[in-house]
Amino acid sequence: MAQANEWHRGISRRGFLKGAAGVAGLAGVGAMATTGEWLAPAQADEGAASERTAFTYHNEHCLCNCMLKCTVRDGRLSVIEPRPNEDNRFHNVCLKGISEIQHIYGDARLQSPMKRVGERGSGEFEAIAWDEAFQMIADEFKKCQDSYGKDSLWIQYSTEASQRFTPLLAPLLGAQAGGMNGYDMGQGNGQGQAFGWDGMFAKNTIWEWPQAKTVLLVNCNMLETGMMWSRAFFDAQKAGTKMICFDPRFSATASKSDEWVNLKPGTDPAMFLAFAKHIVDNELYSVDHLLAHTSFPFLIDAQTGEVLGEMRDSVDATTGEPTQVKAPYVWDEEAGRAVPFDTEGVHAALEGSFEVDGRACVTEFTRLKEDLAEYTLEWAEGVTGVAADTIARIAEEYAEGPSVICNGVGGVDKIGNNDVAGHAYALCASLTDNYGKRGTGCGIYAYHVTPYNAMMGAWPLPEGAGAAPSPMGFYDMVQKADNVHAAMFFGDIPTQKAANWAKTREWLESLDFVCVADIYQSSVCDYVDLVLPVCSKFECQDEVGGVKNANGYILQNQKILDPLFEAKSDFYIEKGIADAMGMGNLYPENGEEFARALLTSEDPQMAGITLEKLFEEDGAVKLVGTEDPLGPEVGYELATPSGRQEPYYENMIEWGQAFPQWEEPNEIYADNPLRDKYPLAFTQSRSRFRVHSTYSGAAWIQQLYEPHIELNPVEASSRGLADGDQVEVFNDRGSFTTKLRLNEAIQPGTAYMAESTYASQLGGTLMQSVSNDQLNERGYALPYGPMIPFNDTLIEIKKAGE
Amino acid sequence: MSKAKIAYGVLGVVTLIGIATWIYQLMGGLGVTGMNNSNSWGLYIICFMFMVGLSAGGLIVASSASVFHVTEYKKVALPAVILSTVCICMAGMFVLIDLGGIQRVWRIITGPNPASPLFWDICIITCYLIINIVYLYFMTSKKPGAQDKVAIVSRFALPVAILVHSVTAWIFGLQIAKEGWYSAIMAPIFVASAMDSGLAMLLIALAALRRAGVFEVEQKLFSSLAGLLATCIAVDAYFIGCEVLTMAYPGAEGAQTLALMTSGPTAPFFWFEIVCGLAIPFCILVFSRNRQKTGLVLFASALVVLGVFCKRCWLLLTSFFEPNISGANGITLGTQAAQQSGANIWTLTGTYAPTWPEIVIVIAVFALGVLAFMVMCSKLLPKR
Amino acid sequence: MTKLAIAIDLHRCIGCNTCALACKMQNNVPDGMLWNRVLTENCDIYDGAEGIYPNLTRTYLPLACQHCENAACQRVCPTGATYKDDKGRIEIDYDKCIGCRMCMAACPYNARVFNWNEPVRSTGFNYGDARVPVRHKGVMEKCTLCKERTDAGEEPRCVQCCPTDARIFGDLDDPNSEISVAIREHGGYVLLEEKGTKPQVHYFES
Repeated sequence: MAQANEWHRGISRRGFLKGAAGVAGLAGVGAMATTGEWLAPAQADEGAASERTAFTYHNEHCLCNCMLKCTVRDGRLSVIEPRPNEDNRFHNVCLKGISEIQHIYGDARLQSPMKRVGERGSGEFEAIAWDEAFQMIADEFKKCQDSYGKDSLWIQYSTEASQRFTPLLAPLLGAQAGGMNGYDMGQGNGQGQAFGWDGMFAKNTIWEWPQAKTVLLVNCNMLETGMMWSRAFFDAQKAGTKMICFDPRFSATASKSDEWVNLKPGTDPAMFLAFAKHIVDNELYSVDHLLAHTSFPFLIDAQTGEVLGEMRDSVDATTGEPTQVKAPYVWDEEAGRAVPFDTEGVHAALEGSFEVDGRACVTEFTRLKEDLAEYTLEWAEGVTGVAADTIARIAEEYAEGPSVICNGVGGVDKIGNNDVAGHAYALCASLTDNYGKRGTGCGIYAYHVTPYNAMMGAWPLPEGAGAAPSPMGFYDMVQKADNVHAAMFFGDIPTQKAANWAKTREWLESLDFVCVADIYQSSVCDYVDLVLPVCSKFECQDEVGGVKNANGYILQNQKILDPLFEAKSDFYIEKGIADAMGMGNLYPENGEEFARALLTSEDPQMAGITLEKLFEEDGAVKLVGTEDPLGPEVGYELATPSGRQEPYYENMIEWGQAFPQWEEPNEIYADNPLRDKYPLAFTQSRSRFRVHSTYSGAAWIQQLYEPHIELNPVEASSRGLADGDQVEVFNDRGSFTTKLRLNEAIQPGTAYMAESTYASQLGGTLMQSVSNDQLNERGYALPYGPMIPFNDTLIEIKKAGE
Repeated sequence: MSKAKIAYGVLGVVTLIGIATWIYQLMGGLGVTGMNNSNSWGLYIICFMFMVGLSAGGLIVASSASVFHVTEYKKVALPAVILSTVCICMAGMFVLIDLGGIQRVWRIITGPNPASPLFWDICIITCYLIINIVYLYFMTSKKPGAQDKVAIVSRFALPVAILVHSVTAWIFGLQIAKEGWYSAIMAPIFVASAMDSGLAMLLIALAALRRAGVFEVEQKLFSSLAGLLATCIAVDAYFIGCEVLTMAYPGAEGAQTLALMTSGPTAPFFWFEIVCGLAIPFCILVFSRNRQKTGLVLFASALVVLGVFCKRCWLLLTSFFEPNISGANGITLGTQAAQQSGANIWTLTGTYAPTWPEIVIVIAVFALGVLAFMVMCSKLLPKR
Repeated sequence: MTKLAIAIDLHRCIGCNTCALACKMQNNVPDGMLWNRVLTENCDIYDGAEGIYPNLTRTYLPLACQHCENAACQRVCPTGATYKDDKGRIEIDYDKCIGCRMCMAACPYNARVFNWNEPVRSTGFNYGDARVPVRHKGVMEKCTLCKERTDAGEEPRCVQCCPTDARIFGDLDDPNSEISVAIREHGGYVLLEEKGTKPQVHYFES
């Protein structure tokens, strides 16, 4: 009892008033309450300490989806801990999760709807009531859609501020809901086609790694960015798997790997092309595998590269319409003629030049050898900066297998030649039989790790409802003419999902109306007309704030706290707008009704998973029949047209990338004359201290990490810079200011900065001011569209104010 | 108004300002000082060491007079013990001012940890203070036989005086955590520097009393004491020389600490001590001709006192500078600035600068000391 | 006897600071200080590296109270506020602490933090475990080995939250405990062994 009394003395009113005095209001927002003031009234009730626990999931944006147990005492979130789980793999929390104890109450929280009163960019706002905000949105949306058509409205959601229930507003209004991403799928763009993927993630899981002999970690700093999967990394390493990390920077992952390969940024494709050549030259492949599982024996026209084959009747898998597919030919050595690859008993030639129907043709493998000719070890050494014998040795270790290529979505994924890198991974994997069987594979592993996905139910929308197709992605919209005249963003999309901030800002200013709903006062808030406060993931109006399928579970967002300040969940914000537009009746009554709809599914994996069951099982229920952590083997029957591994991309012939061909990065290539002015290749990447811009405002994380740009010490003296200097980072696109730190872990000739921090922490400037927005035209021919080359950026650094 | 009254007035006001500042410190916590988690002791502890040292000279001179029958010293025994008493009280005050939880200080009595050097120190300082008071009592007593009792007390006083400095030294010298402190010679050094600074202080006090016409000291005695001071300086310098050589010679960790002392942030204090606190005064006082000149003796004495103060600074602060286990982000400061925002909570190395409340409080304690010395001298010294 | 301790696998430590914040949360550690911090050893920037590019090494070193068997801090505490408890943990009785900071000077690991001011929490309320006593200005504090949790048979919060399972908690006096086995298997070391403080926090590299 003594302790309980002590506790109450601890949270005296005086403490609160002091706290209030120390908390600054949001910039330029006079009407806002400080956090302290807002919290103070709750203290009037000084009853006995009451504690309760509830469960939720968190950090969806890093895809870890940690299942959390939360303790609330006297109405305040007091403890966040991993939800007990007998499966240790899902017993997780990280520093970001824990920092929410402070973060959700912190100064950076948006507290009430705010209407702009000054110029865009001035940051002058006044607080308004929700009703007024909803009406304003309704009026602006109607005005826009009436004048310019339904698709003139753009409603886009980010993972942070939108969340737990499927967004319905864009489909109900027929607005555009965002097109292609423009990021994270760069390597996937080049990789997926070989194996018939429908995404960029690997098709098996990290839990197979102990069965691999070698794992190549390419632009993947998983020990920082997908921390929850680091157990798998270490467990595999303990089991004898060799981790080889490719990164210009000595990242956390590099320092824990068995070998660190410090290639130059943007040269990953060269490295893997040299691997491929070394593998082919030294016959580090199994002919049986190539003949049985790959398209390498397929015949192509020696001139045009066209794959030769016979047309067969088929049925389109998606439309059900009859269609024709090509069955590629192979050269049957016994029969001495071309036959369809799947001909019974065929003895296909792997290599050679033949003549089919009067056309000179070669096998894909023969073409590969020609295409790889110039990618010698010595050439690669010159391009990548890595010693030729190192490249050879790693190629041999990889080829020996079973091996995995695990790529991330940083580094080369945000450089102009990203698809070539992905394509080269696929080529190496296919050549060496490192795809399909246990302990092999390629793609993204360190995210969202589960072999199981359930088909959840949906909230029924009226007939004909649906988002308007987006003719272009956000990255294009800011550059090209389009029909969008008003936009609403859930989360800070404009500063995160487009490079070259000056252009983005121009585009924002061209709009008739922009509204942002966000949890925190992120950088874009100053540039919009209306700002809406969204609940953090710990708050909701109803007992349930969302349900989701992740990590082989159905996860439930239980109510931890009532909404803080005047925040509303995105679901209720949408519903409020819909009400004001006379469509409120199309929404579920509340979170519970929505959750029940999502849990109503035919999927047998979801059998018996009800809302009640979720409450009973503390917010997480494992999908039925998912006991095997590995899931089924990927195998050799793929969703490619031939069902085989197809590293030869016929559709990329016109781009010269049927087989991957070395291409320099867009801007950071070695001989770029621009380097005279801007000699540093600038990489932004995710760190453990942020998920994009989120957590910029978390005081506990600010204590651990202060935004800064890093240079190798050798780059500093020549510029007259010293550790700790305030510097300006600039190029022709723009500039931002930050602090300089010198770090031996940074490759000379490069600069590094953990991505996305609030403009308020960079003296009002934005990192995205310098980033490269030149899209690779080839991207439009790729499955996921062009990618923004954020990291394909040259900069120079000087002392601020000079 | 007499000069004395003005002096009393000024010192009294300074003391009151100091008390007010101390109350401010009690309300705000030690955060109002420049101390922090990386450098957890500062000016108060420097002054504590310094004052313990200063109090020595007096008592050692006074008690040697009796113990070794140096009759001429007996003449200055009384002002010497007054000085000693005042200084030790000031030292005690600095310890108390430095406590973060003074309201719980009684815990030392109810539940002491006999292994703690700080507990020893509190015991020995209390003893020392009592001996000083008893000493004063018998010295000023008109009762018959009091002088014999002075002789008896002095036999206790001398070892206690030596112990009080040794124990103070052991607060530091026994700490294995700090390379710059952990040394067997710490206690002898403390005794030696206590003797030179204490003697120097006594000379200054005697000169002041003579100037004020309160107490007459023969020039011969003055010069003789100056001679003793020269010897003490030599002994102090010798011990420091031993310590520095032992640190430097292996070229190992001790040498790094030494490098910090000689070229780190505390180097000015180190070099002031070596050059101005030891070398110059010794060179002055080693010549008997110079010892006849009151001005030069006072100059040398002042340098010695300042030098020893500097020594307390480098001795204390250097060992806080480099944490044993180094690495970024470093140590969390725990200060008000650290509470307020972001990455300000860290420091890679020990960092400290006294703040105004600290300085005001220290000045006030000195003012109170001077005040107490003046009052005691005027009350206790035989009227001429 | 019981001698509770932690062993940390430095190879598995990815420097994420989850333990640092978990500790901060659990123990209601006020702003401006941490009981448990993670260092990039011998670097002056977090995530720095030793050596010259590209010949680099890096060690993340989580550092908190070492719960020494021969604890310098306990020896020097004048009031016995710092004591070794019956489970082998070094604890502080806040009611006895007079704020002299002798222990702080004595600790070779800079593991202790002091409440120089009245504690401030940017949340405006006391977070963490309700069983943890609130401290006021003028007292020393540090890792208690999650006394309140370990007394109840739970793991320390840093151990529970470590995303890589780099931390092992247990009884060094039990030769069959996971921690004793790990130390036997991997060898490892204690910090500043030469100081003779006999830390109960062990470090090893798997």
